[in-house]
Amino acid sequence: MISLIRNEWMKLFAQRSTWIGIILFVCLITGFALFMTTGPSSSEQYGSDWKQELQQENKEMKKQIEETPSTAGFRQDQIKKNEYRIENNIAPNEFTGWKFVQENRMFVSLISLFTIIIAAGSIANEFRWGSIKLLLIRPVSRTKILFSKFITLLLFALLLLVGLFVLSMGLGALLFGLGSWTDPYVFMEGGEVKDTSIMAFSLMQYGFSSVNLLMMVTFAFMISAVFRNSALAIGAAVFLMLSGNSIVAFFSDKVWAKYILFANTDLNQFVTGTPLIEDLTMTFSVSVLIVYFLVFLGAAWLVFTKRDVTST
Amino acid sequence: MESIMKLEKVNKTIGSHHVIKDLSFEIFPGEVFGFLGPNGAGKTTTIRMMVGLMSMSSGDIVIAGNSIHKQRSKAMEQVGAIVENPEMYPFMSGWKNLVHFARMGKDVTEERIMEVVQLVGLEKRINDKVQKYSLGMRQRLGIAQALLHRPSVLILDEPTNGLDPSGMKEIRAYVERLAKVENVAVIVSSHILSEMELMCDRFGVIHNGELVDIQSVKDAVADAEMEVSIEATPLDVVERILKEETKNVITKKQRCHIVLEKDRIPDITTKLVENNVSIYSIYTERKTLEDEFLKVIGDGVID
Repeated sequence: MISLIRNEWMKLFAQRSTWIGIILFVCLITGFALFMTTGPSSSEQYGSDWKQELQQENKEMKKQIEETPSTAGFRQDQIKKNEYRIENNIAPNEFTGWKFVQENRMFVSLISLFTIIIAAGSIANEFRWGSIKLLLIRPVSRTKILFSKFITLLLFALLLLVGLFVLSMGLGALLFGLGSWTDPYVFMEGGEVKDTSIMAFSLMQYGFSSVNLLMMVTFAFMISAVFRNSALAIGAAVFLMLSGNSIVAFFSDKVWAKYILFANTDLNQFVTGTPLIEDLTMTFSVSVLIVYFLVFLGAAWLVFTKRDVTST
Repeated sequence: MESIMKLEKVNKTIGSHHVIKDLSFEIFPGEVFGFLGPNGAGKTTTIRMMVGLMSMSSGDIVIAGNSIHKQRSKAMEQVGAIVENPEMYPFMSGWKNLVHFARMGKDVTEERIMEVVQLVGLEKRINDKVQKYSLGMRQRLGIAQALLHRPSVLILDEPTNGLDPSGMKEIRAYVERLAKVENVAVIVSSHILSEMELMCDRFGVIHNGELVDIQSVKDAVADAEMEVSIEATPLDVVERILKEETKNVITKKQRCHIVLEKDRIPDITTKLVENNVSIYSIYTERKTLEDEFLKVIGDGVID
């Protein structure tokens, strides 16, 4: 199995497109970092009397709530957070390298896109090249070949995730100063305000973002195995990735809406926000995700191991 | 002799088409077996079933005692193959391609890869990317790939496809060497019948998914009567003498053509000499595999 994964890894990095993708990816992050140093600061700066400033802020927000009650939800959360900071003596975060790391979480969707493209080709391309015929006549079961490909995809995504995290940390430290990784980070969980170290929070956020990545990559992999068509796999996966939330919103009044994959892919919603559909819980979402994951892989496996390889 | 590959009542149905019908035959170590048939006869389907790319609807293929159903891995350890074109990864070097397939086999060392590369004569270009290879070089790399794990059955589907005459000759030499020296059973499918005739010891003909004939090339050619062409003067004397031997004498372009068994040629020659005929040449036109093939499958079109 290890030698099969090594094979897939070798093929992946022997292709020029993989390298171009990686270089583009690094350039984008670096570009974004440079843009952040020159652009307007995204967080207000607080002075040494930040407690007073926060109190002032809260007063203003309470006034605004009275004027426009429709915005109450978001402002109330902010007020609670500010009160929590004052009570627990936690100064608002400056824009440090860690904050940058945390903001770069949005690049995870870029990693998704990149890995989807590779997943889409991983089986379809073997058929297109004709090399599938040489691959499947070895004393290795088709199941092993399929899973070595899938594991390679996951390793590749992991490499990019770790790369993103480390690169963001490096750039953050270089451009903004890293600050302390134990800096407390204040967030809302289930209507309650909590705090944790910013590093733990960042890691958690990256972890949650990877869930969507994993599901979409598995989906693209399945389409690639079933239809042997990489364009279709990329198209379908990217379309679903982009329109996932709209699909959920469209069907949100249906009873079965909570079983839609995309109602569950954002696990972050249980930690820092309100769930898309009210009665969703973390346990429920994770169970739904596992079922989808197994169905995708099962379909890929069934078709890949059973189908005759005819002339292409 | 124990067969190395055995097809037992193999059937294949695709949709409503019964593509392969009760196909049974055996291949023995050290022989070169030609697999013939017009397009669409089921040649490629059979080969794909032999290497496990397609499943069988019923029946079994046994390779070195291992059923392809039950002990697929063990069976495939014994098989090396090129199915249609040798399609390797174009973006990797020949060497990396071989390393790739070596890792999928059992106990293929780096020395073995080098040995195979030398055998097919690709040492100088092995580090070039495959996309820069000519068709002949790809074909050689394909053979190298098939030989890595020292298979006891080598399956070559259209191995000379697109090769020039010297390339074909080279392939023929490898095949001969493998069969005679290393006792490998080689199964070759090709539609170039003259090629097959030069390469194969035995051939099987498949038509409409059925095995219609299986025999050795020597048998096929030796038993038959052959056409003898004699160039000699005076022609009328020759004609008269020949007519005593056989009824059908055709004279055209200063030559007499007759059909008879090989054994009778010396007698006739003696007679001609005794009658003071000056003989310039006598030659036999061997019945070719192509004639046999056409006889067996009717006038089905071969492309």
